[in-house]
Amino acid sequence: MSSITRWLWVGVVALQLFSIVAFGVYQEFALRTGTQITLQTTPIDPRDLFRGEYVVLRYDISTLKVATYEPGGSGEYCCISETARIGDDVLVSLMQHADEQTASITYSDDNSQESDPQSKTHYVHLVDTSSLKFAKGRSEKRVIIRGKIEGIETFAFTTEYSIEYGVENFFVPEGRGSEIEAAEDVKVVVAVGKDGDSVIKNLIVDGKAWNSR
Amino acid sequence: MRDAGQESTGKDVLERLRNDTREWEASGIITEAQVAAILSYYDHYFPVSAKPQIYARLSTILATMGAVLVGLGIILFVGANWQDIPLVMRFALLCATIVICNGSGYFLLYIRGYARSGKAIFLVGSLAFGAGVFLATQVYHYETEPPFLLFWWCMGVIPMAYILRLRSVLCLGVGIFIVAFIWFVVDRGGDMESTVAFIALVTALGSALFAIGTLHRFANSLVKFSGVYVTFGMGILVSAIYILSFEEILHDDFLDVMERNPVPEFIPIALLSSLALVCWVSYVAIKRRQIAAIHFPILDLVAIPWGIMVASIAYWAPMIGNSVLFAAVFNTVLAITIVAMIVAGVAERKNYLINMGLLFFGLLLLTRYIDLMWGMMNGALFFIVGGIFLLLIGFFLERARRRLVLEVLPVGDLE
Repeated sequence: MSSITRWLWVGVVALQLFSIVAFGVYQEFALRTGTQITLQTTPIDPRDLFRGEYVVLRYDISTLKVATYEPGGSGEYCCISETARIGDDVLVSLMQHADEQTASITYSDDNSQESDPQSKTHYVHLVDTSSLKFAKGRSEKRVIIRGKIEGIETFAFTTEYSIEYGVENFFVPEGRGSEIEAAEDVKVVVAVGKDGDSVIKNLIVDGKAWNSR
Repeated sequence: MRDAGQESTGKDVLERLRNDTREWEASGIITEAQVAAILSYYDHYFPVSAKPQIYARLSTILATMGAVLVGLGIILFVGANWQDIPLVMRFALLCATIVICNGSGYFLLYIRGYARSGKAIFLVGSLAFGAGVFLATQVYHYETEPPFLLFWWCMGVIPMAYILRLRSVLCLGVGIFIVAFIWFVVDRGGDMESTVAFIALVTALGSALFAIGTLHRFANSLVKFSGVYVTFGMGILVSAIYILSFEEILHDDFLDVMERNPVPEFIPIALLSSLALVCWVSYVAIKRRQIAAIHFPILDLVAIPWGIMVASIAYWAPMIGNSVLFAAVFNTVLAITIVAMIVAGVAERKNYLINMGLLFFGLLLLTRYIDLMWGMMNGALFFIVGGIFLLLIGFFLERARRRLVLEVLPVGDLE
């Protein structure tokens, strides 16, 4: 083996290791620095060919209903424009009070969070600001979580947007998926970074942090 | 009967012939299959002990099987998501496995000269890298589709194959790439709603792989990889044509034709076909300077334009309609392809082409038999007649194969 070949070989092995370790470090960083919120979920239990058993998580915020005739206006949520298509990004404003168990979609008093109708990124928050007064003075966590529109269904008065946030799979040890599926109440602790990307930290199953062992 | 001196001279000649043929192969004058055919021909006249060759073959097969088993075991271990080992330790273990496999592969192959075991250990290292990719995305519950993980895996494996010149690792890398590509297209159902359009795309992929394989023959350092691409390309091409031979698939697809815009879906097919065409034109242009047209390998000359033509016909067929007509067309195309493969296999002394051709011939017969006979007899009768039919096909195929392989190999190497 020539010295160039040897160096190339060492380089490829190093790149292989780097790609795995760098991915882990990036995810660990996101987990440690992100704002932690808890989301209500409903799990189901399939199996991945390479990564084993996992639980598919659907959240309350996975489906957004927007009034068909008032898009971007006075519907329940602002502001997914009519031009929104499958594959577009959404940035959803979430808030969790210290005395609440889970986060939910909130209002926004930030004028910059108005979607450009031609943009491929849409801000989602409550239009009704009546909760604003109620919220004042309470300890709260506010985050903007990034998702992608995976489906759009139009009904008579509403359009339903199916959103995925990248935290829909939770991998579990072999044979443990059914435990989570059978639980009555499952919540997910998620760390959300400043850019809106999120990483699952753990599950809360029937009120207790889920122990994978 | 030969005396000792004659046998000794024979061994010397054989040794020289071995070295010469390897040099000719490296220079691209003859193919690996031709080297094997020449050497086995002379083995017959100058019989030396068969043991080393048997051991060499057996050790290659066993080492490769062992490597695949160990690699799949590591991937399954990751899949089991065993939590008794801390996360950091699992990462460290897997990284150490990659390093140890590469290190010991290097030691065995380049320092101790154990070529077969060394290559097998490198293969384990490449499989362990895949396990590493799955582990990294599993422990952080990373939401991604499996094809992207497979692309990540093959991106780490294919360069390794070229640098270390390991055909088994290239087989793994190209195999992963093909699975990832097909899986990706299937997952993107919204963009590729037509089954026939999907098969046309896969056919174009087969042509492109075949074309890439032929181009590898021009560089001495790459010639040994040519067969990997050509075999995968040919296999995909014939499999795709086989699927197109089903009238039901065409019929269902032809009903939906009015609902789709044909142009966007044709772009990836056009891109892959263009790639195949550019490679083919370059190959033919360069090769014609080296050899006379009469000696041009049949398969190299026709397979790529044939694949591109099939992909295009398949894609645009629904626009014309009449699924019965196109089913007849694709059955004819399949029959011609099978005959061409067998003829090319005999002419170019390539056993794998003969075997592949006969396999698809059997499959085609069996499929059409079921198509024609189903509904005309009850289940019991079907299985009895079908079973006897299969036994007869098996017998005739074996007889045909023996006859064909006898033309390629000398007596004694039949099995």
